[in-house]
Amino acid sequence: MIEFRKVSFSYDGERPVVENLSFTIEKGESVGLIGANGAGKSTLMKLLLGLLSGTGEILIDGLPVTKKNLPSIRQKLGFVLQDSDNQMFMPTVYEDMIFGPRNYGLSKDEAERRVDEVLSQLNLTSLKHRHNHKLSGGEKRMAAIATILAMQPEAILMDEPSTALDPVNRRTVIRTVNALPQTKLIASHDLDMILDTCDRVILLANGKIAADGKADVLLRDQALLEANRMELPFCLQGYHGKQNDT
Amino acid sequence: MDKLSHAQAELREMDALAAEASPLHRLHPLCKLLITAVYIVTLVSFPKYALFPLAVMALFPVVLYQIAGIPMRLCFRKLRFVLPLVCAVGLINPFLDHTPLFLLGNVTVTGGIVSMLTLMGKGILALTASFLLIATTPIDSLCAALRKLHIPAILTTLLLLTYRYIGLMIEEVSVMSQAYALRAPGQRGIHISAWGSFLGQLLLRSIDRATELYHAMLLRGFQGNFFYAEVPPCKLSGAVATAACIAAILCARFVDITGLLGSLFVR
Repeated sequence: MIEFRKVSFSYDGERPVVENLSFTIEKGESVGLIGANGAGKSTLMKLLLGLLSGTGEILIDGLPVTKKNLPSIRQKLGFVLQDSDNQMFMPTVYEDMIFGPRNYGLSKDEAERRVDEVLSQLNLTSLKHRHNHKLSGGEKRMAAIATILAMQPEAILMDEPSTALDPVNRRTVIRTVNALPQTKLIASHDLDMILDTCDRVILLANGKIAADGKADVLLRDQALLEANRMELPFCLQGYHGKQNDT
Repeated sequence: MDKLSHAQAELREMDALAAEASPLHRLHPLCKLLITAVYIVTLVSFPKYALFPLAVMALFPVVLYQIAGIPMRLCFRKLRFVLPLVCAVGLINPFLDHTPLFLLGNVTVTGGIVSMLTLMGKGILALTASFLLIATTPIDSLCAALRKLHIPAILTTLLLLTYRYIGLMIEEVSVMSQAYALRAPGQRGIHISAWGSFLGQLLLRSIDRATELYHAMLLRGFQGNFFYAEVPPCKLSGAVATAACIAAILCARFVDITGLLGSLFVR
């Protein structure tokens, strides 16, 4: 489904942010993308979506990410931004959800049917005509996911989907993500969430793949995580109390 | 609530106003646009001394505000910063035009004063009509109507996105000024020495924010053409109401209503 072949990218032409990356994500896989700040997670996502272009080749369903293919590639990939305020730019949830399908040529009726389906699938029907600025953080995040699902993408990319959510909303997002049948690529520092939602993890460090393997194995490797400025997920740390930090 | 939060709330209040359901709100956006355009052009066409005939034109907003269920004081409150500027336009006229026109008691009213009042009247009425259009028509519908008039897509998209970005810009200013205030207790506003870096940062943050939003749009298939709110075809009742409004406006312009009314009382 997603294939990176020796992809490199640099913002300033000198220091590579992503260097010689090669990996493949199969259809239906759920992959966590982890790494310290500046490791290249968001850049990798942007390269995948054609918002940045580097060297090497990226293929989506065999289709290279080139300017010509962008419309069809972006139809296949749904991207949930880290900041839902930036994702929800229309006045109401309904208008936001209908934006993508309409741009891809669906009639108003078809698009509306799709919106209703997604809202009922996510139990968000009550949000349909709500104004975006009146939604809570959790509602906004769920609505942002709904706007992406309304496009019926084949793969979903998420950038820090659990940021700024309270535990209940975080759990709702995790449950929703787990229920989605699509291929998923989730970039996050929330390793507990990655453990809950992904089968495989790619650990990035300085733009390179430091490790790639089963989430259950990799996220238990304390030495590896700490060497890459990360920690074991909280659920695997056990409770040591505050004195352990000092 | 600080000034910026207040500005944000006011902006949202406009969206809420436009979403009401009065007969005027339900009127086709193209009709409203047409009526407002005819009204403003007619206002502008009044001669400079036509103060009393212009007074008849004030009936238009008064009646339509009632139909829309929008209090006129709300309009004046929202336009409180613009109205003084409009009123200032004709302030120089009394000094330039000393032609005596009529006596008001013992005071000679000159052409300069009348033309100043006429200009002020035109400005205020044009603003109230424009406000009524915005307060009864969602921005998407307005842009859709403009597209129907073959206004280039780039202009209507620009208008729509500018309207959307005003809120985000205020949000950014609000966050930055709060951060500033928290580290400058007891200081009123932002010190002049910080204006340069403040504006620079605001520009950079706005560009970042706008880029993110644009990316969000691109990723959902945006290719330069906005799908505006679906505007249903104009109903016959809407067309009749529009024709009646335009006829009334033109009547107020070309028939000397104040003269006719006056002749009823003075022989």
